[in-house]
Amino acid sequence: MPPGWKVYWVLMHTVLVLVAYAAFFVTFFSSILYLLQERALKAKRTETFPGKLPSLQALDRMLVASLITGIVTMTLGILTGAIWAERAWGRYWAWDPKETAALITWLIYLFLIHCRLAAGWRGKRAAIVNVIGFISVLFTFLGASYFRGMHAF
Amino acid sequence: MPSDVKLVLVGTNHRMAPVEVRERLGFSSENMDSALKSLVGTGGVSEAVILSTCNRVEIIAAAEEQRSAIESLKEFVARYHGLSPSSLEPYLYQYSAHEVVRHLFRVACSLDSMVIGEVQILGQVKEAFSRACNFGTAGPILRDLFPRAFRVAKKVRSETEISATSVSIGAIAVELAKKIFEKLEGKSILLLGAGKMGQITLRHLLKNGVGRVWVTSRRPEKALQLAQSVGGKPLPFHNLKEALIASDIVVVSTSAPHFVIEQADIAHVVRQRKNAPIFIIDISVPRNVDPNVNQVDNVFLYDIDDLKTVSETHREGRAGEALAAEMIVESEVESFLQEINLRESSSVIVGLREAIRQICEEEVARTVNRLAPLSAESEVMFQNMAQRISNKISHPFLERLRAHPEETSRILSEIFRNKDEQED
Repeated sequence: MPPGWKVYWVLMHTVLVLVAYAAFFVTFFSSILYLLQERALKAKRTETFPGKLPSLQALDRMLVASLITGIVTMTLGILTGAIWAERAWGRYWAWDPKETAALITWLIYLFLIHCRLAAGWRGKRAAIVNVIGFISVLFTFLGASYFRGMHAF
Repeated sequence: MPSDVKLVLVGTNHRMAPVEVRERLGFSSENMDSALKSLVGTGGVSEAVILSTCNRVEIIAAAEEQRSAIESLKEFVARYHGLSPSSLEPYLYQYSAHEVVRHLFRVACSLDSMVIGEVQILGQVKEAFSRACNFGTAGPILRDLFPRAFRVAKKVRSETEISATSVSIGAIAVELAKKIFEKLEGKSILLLGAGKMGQITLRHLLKNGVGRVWVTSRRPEKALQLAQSVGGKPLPFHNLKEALIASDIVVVSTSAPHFVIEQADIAHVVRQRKNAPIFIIDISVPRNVDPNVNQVDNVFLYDIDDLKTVSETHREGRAGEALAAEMIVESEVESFLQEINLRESSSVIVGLREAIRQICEEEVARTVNRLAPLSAESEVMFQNMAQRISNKISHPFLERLRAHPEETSRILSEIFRNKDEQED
């Protein structure tokens, strides 16, 4: 395989994962706004945000769109990463801390999508899981670098 | 002091009492007649009107002795609803004499409303009055007062912008719905009950493009009639649960004295809806939706007091118009009281003239009889003389009446009452 191919895979991997992070950030942000709006509506304190926040439905739509974008790009990012790893080191998966964290994050979001489709999880509960998911994203992005591994940079 | 208006008022409104209390104090339209009947005659109450809306319950009455009348009105309200008068005391307000005039004018002009400038209240006051008229408990005093209040309300509406900028319950419901739903087009709405406020709210939602409308009521013929008037589809009442599952917005406005929608029902409904949010507006008093329903996730329940909280944020914008309206009310109260005083003093004037004329006629007749036979001309001369004397005697009284109507008419009516008593 020409050396250019390796660079191509690692570039794909990096771009896809960064897009996934960005998408999950949008999901997280929408969830926070959703929780704020939901709390204001439940507590009848609608004057706190006089018409500034989008409607719950709009926030929910944004949340779902970014969630799907995130999970798709992250899946592709993990796949391209695995392919590159196989080319570079001879195996697809090495269980280094960053890989493990990414897998956990991916499973959290997959679980959320599953709950939404199967059990109709929406609203407050889904928004809370989204916040947890994003904490996991942050850990994947930043935290896992503390543990030495192939992703250390 | 214009303390001559023999009026009293006892009542409560959305500011004095929370909905939990108000819903126990209402008079249903079925019970109104019997309530009016037992009201008049007790504690010196000679005339009465009962105004009972979801935001206020008031008894406006005419009574000679105001202090005791207020006490007996309070007792009546407590006794009627099976409560102790002392437990009600903190929730009630009371007015007497000219305060009643001012309060009623303000109520009719919607200055005392939860949503200042709303127009429903005037219709409700008119209805309360015509009910009392039909039942014969509105006498001359209230028949004077109420039509005047209606005129003042009309004047306020035409001379200020208070209603033009009004935010009604319906508009607030729309605004809240837009905080939950991205757009109202295509949303399903369920109207439960035939309450007027519910219909008004529904119309606002329809204006904003809400899609399918279902109407249900415990009385099927009512549901059918309502559905036709708002362009919806009537549903049998026993299909309520299915209707809730399929509806995004529910407007509840029935006259049921108990909860129609319980927490357990809604929890089930939300599961069936796969947690799609549902917005419930309960305009009924007594409330028809268990307040705990709001604790169910993805359910947003607003009762009439919650809407009030929201509407208060809109109040500042209309402060200027409200002030102009208050000034109109104030001057109308003044002129109404003056008219009453004037009418009373003019009745005193008529009485005074009549009394003097009678004395003169008697005396002329006696003298003419003694001097008989007299020519017709001499008789007329005597009469004219008596007339002139009577005019000259009454002149200073009339002058004084014009300058100080209340005081003089009180003195005069006392003098003439004494005279009558002496003669008896």
